[in-house]
Amino acid sequence: MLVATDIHKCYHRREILRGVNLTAAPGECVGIIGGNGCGKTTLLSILAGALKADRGSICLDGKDAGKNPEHYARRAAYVPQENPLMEELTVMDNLLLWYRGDRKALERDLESGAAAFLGIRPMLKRAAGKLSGGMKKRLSIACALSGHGSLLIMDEPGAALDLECKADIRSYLKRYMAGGGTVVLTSHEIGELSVCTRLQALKGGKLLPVEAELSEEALIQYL
Amino acid sequence: MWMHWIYLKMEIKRAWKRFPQLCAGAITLLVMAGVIALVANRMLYGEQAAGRVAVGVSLPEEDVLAKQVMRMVSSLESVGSVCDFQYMDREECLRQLEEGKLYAVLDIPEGFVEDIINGVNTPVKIWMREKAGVEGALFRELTDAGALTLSASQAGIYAGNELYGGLGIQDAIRSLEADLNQRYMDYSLGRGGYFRHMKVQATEDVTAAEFYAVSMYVLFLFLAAIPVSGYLMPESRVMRQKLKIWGIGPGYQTAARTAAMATLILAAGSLVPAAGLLAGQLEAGWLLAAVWVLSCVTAASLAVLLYQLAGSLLGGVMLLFFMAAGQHFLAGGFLPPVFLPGTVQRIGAWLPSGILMDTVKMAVTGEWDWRRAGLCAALAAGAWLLGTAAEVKRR
Repeated sequence: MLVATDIHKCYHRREILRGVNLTAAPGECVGIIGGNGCGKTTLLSILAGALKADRGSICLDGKDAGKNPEHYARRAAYVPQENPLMEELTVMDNLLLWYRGDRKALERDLESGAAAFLGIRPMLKRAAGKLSGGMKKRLSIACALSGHGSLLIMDEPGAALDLECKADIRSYLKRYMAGGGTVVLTSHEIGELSVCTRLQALKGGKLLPVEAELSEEALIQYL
Repeated sequence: MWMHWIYLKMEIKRAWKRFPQLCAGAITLLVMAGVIALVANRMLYGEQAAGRVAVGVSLPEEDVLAKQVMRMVSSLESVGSVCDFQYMDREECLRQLEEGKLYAVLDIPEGFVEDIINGVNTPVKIWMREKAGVEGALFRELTDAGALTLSASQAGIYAGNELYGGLGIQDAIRSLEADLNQRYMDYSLGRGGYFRHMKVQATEDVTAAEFYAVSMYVLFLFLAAIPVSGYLMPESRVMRQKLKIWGIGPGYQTAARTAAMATLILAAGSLVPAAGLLAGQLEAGWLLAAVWVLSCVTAASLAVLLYQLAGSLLGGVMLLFFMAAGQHFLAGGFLPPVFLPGTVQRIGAWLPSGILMDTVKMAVTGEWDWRRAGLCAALAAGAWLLGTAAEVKRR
């Protein structure tokens, strides 16, 4: 269970987040929508532990992220907009780095884990920099989930991907949630948001509840 | 430690994936560096350098004494090493001067030597080209020095004459003059032996060619990072966060990058010592190996630092290029320090280029200097510390 309370963040005296509260239960997917520059990426970075909030707290499974940063970082898998890959290295080398050199664990996941579902094996020998956008995204998710985290945070996972790849990622997210994982994602696309069990709109630095069955017209008013 | 080893291995792998780019860049850089060296060398020793001064001498016919004196003068080391005397008649001399074949013409009048001996100052006519350059100036200085020497000799003889006149021994004046003439001549002709010979050059302990080879090698080491800029880009925020979780601190991260970058520069930079060994200019041994490793590691740590400070690809390239070119000039990499103002010389000795050039010169001279090596190692360590500080700030 993810519980974020009263999250504040300022950039150059401009308050981006003004007391954001968010909860996400296991098996739940929370979609965060909002216009460009409203602070979605900032919020996700803070939830992932990649950015420090000015104020507020984050708890995962009852443990405070501030007091247990390493535990939190292991449990929270973050897939940012830009892929956190070493582009010069092969897919195998990237995975090995994220799996901390644990070849056995990697082999297991390539057989039956997230990496297997995401179809990583055929591209193991290819350079990460030479993969298509969709393949990179799959690899990024596989890397992020190397620690078998219970929380998956994704920043616009479907951006610039083809329909087939988007569908694959959606089906993987459903599988992940079915296994008890919690997902928090941002997106501008209705199709991508369809996987969400709950939607929240980030407006004026605060999260507002939004009805889950959102039409495109209704979505526009939050962007 | 396992994760540290994995990370180091991956960093080295990453760096080596850029090796083809480094090779392509290295060829371009070497050509560029060669052109810079050539131009600098020409600037330094081309137009400004003095060649031998061709001087036409017109002697009166049948004047055996004058011919003998000219032979003696041209045998003087200070004159002979600079001037080429060509004997011809006056018209031919002036024609060749006009045509630019001669820098100056000496027109020795009839009875010139006898007049000197007799105390009559018959002037020698000297013609010079209007734009004779350095050679003309040099010849003017030589003739002035010659005239001064002659005046001093004459003053000595006249003083002797006066003294003997005062003492009432006029009869002995002739033998005194002959004696003094002989002694002055002996001392003048043989004076080369009184001086210590010392070769002085702008490039100090190495030759001009070695100096520019060293300078361009150092410049190459700095600029070699540009073709592999992509590798030197700072990590993404997520990757930095992961590194932190894996126990890889900013210090280790900077050191791993420096090590990976150093392996690349060592490979590319090995071409120059290899060429030096093949040409017989360098001697294989621990000194060469130590200088090679030290210079490459220092260049790598500086490159890593600059990209850490810049934080972006373009910023890194710009910072590296301008830092390399600017401080290389100030350190006397393009023009030897002796041609730069004193303050710049003093600052230049402490700039990375100055320190690296001093280090590389050890391989050329074959003399190990702990101070130079220590300074270079300190520079590498300082760059690593600053790079680590930049990474800490970024994290």
